[in-house]
Amino acid sequence: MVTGIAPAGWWLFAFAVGVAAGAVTRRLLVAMAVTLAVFFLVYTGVSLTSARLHYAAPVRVEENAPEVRGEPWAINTPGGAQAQLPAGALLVTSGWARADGTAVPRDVVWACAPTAYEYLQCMRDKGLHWFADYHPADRYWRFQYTEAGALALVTVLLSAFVVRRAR
Amino acid sequence: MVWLTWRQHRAQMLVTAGLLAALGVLLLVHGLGADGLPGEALNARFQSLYTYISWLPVVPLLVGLFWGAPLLARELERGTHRLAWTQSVTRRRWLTGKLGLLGLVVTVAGLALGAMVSAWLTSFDGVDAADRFGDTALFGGTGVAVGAWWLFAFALGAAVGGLVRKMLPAFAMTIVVFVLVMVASFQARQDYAEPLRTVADGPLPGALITGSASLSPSGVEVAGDAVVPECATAGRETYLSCIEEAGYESVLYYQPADRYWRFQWTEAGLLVLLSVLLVGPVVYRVARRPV
Repeated sequence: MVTGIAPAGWWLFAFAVGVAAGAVTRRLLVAMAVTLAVFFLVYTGVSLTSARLHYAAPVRVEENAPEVRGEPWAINTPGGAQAQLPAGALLVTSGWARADGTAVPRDVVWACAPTAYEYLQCMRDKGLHWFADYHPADRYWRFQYTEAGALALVTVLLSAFVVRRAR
Repeated sequence: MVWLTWRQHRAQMLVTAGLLAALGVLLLVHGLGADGLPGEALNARFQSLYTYISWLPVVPLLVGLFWGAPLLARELERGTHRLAWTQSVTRRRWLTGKLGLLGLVVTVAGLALGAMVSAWLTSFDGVDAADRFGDTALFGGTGVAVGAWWLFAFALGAAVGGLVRKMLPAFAMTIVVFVLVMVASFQARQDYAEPLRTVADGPLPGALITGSASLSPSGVEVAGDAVVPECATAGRETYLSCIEEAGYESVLYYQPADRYWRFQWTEAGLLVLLSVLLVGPVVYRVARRPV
């Protein structure tokens, strides 16, 4: 969000929102309030819905016998899952699945928990395998262009609206 | 005067009241939903809203921008002050009336926000991060300090507006000065009183930790950011166990939890004083200057 070219997209977008708000409301204070509100909503909306994670279909990794350092069930935490992925990867989701690919509910994931060091073996015996969906590190620029492009598109639409209105 | 103030500023008042009411409902629903949750889930629920609550220190800036800065700058920029100040109400009364009334409303609104956040915090008793004293954002967003922050932002905006007499420069200057004062307050807060010192003590619930050090067996204190001489050659991973083996004890400097209200009043007092110092000269100057 603050590296690469996405910030340029955000700056441009904020500028266009301000111009459009000014054109519609024609009053300085109201336009400023509207600009702040719209920018805040869009910005938090993008973070809140994790929109960034959906810029591309994630890569899936499946492990029948994941190797875990430390406590085996740490693999169920985001940090533990991250440790299974290549460096710089962006984790989307992780968990356990049955052989036919259906996901396993949370209570089954923890059912093996009391036997700490046999945890992974216990999960294997149930016919489950661990999986994670992630974006590899080399997608950084692609995602940067996606975000900047989406914001540039909105900017163009807003500007077109303002120009049309001014005629 | 009351009617004129309401008539000219009702948009700000209604929007602020609406936003406060919406935030109040959000805090109420979120707080009530936390009732009876076990530790880990309670923590997660707190964090889910705290991400946004941690922006509380910036909220007064909006008051400075939308309540304070336009108050004088808009009249002076558009020339409408010529009409306002040639009525039967004297210029000084017009200024003090508006600043006084709006300042009062702003302070009450800030205190209402603080009361709502405080009430919300009581739902998260066992959560470490829900700390109204140690947490920078929560300290400035609860108690009486929040009302003083709102008043200060309003006074700052009004003073800057009266000084530069144009809206956009007034906005920019308000933002800059507010951010500077806010950052300075984060630094100054822990020095409102001489901190207490404790050696090898357990956790200090609700306290504001201001510094740490290591105490050698012979009684020499090494500051927290300095390297203990016995362990100068220890690696990053063995350092902590090394100072423990060398017999060092940890020292903490802190402000105890019961100083919360004292610190709240100190901060509020400083901000109110600052507000008066900002607005006073501007009122004097604007009142004296020829129309």
